[in-house]
Amino acid sequence: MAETVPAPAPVVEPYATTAQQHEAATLGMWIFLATEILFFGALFTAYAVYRHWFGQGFAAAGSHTDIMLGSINTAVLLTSSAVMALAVESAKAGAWRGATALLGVTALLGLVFLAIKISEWHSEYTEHLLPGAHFSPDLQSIPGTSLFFTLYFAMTGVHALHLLIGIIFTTTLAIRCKRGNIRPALVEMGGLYWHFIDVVWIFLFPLLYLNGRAG
Amino acid sequence: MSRRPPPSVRRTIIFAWAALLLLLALTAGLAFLPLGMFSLPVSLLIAVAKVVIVMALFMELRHASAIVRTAAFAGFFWLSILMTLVAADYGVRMERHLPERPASTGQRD
Repeated sequence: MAETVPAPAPVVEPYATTAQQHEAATLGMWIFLATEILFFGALFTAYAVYRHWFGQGFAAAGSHTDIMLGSINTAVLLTSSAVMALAVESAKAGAWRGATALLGVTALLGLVFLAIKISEWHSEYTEHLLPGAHFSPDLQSIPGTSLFFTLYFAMTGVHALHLLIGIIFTTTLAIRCKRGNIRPALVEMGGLYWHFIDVVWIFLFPLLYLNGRAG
Repeated sequence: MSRRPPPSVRRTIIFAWAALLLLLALTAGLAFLPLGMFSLPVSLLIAVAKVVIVMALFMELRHASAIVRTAAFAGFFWLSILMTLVAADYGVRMERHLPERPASTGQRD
């Protein structure tokens, strides 16, 4: 099957050149990502305050997260970002079949991450780590432990929601690459969003999984 | 006909991926060493190294224009203002204003 070659990227109003249009899209995406940094930043700030107050509680609670699954998931997400970067480069080179396949792999790795994350949440729920009436009495006796798990579920929850949006977006991009009716810049923007989700996780991982391990 | 990205570009991505996985292994391993108060700064330093790789190479800030880099920097800069002012507030609060659980053992570090 011959590769579908899309029509050259049309320049739309108000842009004079494709380069200018591309620059505007990139700048707009980064401004959106800056608002996302502040969205997650508020949660990171809350984490910093409570960890400072309840250092002991955060260490005690932190050692109850699953470091093995957390590390595997980090590797899955880092790999998905590398695959996404290859997808963007393929799109830029006009290799649409390669881009389609790589975007598919990226979305699939995102689904693997979500599946592992959901299994983690499930075992944490059965281990009484969800704050509330059934929160583990052993942990309850140490101040700050339920705050840690409130932040854990909130932060991993909104991260997973972003990833779900990323998976849907990436799948849409893959379908459009297959049909060939897409500008490479749109794949690039999808890539920026995907890598941002990776960046958030890179900071979540040490804060939620690596605390309180050395005893 | 098979078009592919230039080999140099593919090589950069593969090297970045390998570096990211090495840093992940390093930070997960170091978490089990008794580094005491250095544990958090070390793990955050490794996280920053990973983020620099992702942002410079995958998100292509390395080749971005000044205005795009500024927009990327602005998000972190505004976040640093938030964190600084919050730290200034909580840093000067009195101990008695902290919320306590009724069953608190009173221990914290």
